[in-house]
Amino acid sequence: MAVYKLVLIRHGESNWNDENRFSGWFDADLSKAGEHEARRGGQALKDAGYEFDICYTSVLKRAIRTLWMVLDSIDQMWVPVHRTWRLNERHYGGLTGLNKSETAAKHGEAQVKVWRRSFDIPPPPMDPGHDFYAVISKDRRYADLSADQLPSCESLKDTIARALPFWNEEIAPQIKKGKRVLIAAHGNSLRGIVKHLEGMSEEAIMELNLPTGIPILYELDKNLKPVKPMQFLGDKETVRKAMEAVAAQGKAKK
Amino acid sequence: MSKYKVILLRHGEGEWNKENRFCSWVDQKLSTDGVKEAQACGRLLREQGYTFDVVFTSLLSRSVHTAWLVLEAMRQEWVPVVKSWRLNERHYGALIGLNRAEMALNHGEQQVKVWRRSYNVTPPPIDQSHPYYQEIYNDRRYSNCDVSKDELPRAESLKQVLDRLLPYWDGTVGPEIRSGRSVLISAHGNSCRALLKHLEGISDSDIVNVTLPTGTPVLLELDENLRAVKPRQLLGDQVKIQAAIKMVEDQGKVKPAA
Repeated sequence: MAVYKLVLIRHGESNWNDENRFSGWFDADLSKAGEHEARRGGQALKDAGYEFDICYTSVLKRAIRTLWMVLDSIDQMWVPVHRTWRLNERHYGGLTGLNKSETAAKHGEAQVKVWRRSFDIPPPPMDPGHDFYAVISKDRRYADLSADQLPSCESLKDTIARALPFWNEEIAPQIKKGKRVLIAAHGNSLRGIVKHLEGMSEEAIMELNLPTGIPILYELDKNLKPVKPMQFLGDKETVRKAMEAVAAQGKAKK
Repeated sequence: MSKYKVILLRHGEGEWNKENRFCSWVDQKLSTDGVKEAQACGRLLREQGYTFDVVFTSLLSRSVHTAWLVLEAMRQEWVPVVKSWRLNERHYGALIGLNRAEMALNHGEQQVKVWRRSYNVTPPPIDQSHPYYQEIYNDRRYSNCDVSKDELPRAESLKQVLDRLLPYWDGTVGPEIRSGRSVLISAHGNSCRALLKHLEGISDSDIVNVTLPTGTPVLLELDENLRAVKPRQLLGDQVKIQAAIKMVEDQGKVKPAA
């Protein structure tokens, strides 16, 4: 029986998505299209009359701004927002800033395939010589992270391992207190939550690409187990396309 | 001796500011000009090299939105934002929604000045018959405050604003400043004035003449007791600032007959 509702939203297109670059921890901003996606997501929540008591997001602007636009759309700018590095996108290490063809040119197609298909093999680390080392690893927002918390690269397994403690210690208790939660984050940090909620295998979570800019609703029982598959909120057409895209993902990989 | 710096900011124009109406606890959004003011303020703070560790706002959207726009312009969206009713604009009671110039015509510029700028004159309280009563007190944002809805004000003098703001300053904002964190307070004309009165030790009679321009960062340098060591500094183009102050003061005047 559904006791709680949880809404997740993955931010939309960033300026770097547009150029097909690995963003990771680089603080890329939303593109105009990404802003539109956020507002459309906000509108969907407004149309469905959603109210929230607390919101969680990462320390990256593409997620924060998505959340801000959603809160503006639903007229709930006053709701408390908790930002955490633990909901950041996966850290792509030495691949940060490279686009797909540069990555293949630099590391070879075979190696790229391994990284893409692997749950626990990280990309090469971002070392002090990397173009983005200073703006990422030395950024003030990470000043409180200990040396072993601050990543130089992450596999999907690593991302999930640092996201889940935040879910368990901060988010889950709030849901159990009856607080209605909205999480605005990134593809891979949200995969961590979805994998945990649904008890998915490593293979299954790697196949899943959550749609962007579309509010994802989970109805949870008293133990925070989903009582039904995730639902997408929005106009019929947007929802239908998103559901089809997700259904097709597993098939394409075979 | 200056030990800490804090920035206060009064949000920019809301729709009702344009109409010269007492907005107070009604949740008006920023106008397009108000948005631009906040963005310009953020750019100025960025140019002058300010960084923040925490931002405090009220529960009113225009104060939160201003903080967001400032953080965006400063590329510090990741900085925590903490919201409290104790930084809300002064509660204008039964005067909420009334046009200031009309009030001046009906009650005289002097009475309006007394209501707006005196220290301990409380306007008549808002009651259930007031057109904005339900909108304010049925709002969910006031269901989880540190006081019950019944204990929230129905009208306030500036003194009463300070009375409910000071515990928040002492208990929440002050400790952040003392731990060395850089603080931005994005609030309202009167909640900022109340705080200034306390920090600068402005007298009850002098506070009447203190006007803060909108969208202009106010820098306060504080000693180890969190008292101002020098007069507040308004950051930015000084000519524009004087014009902005005059504009706020003129709101209380009767409009000349056409």
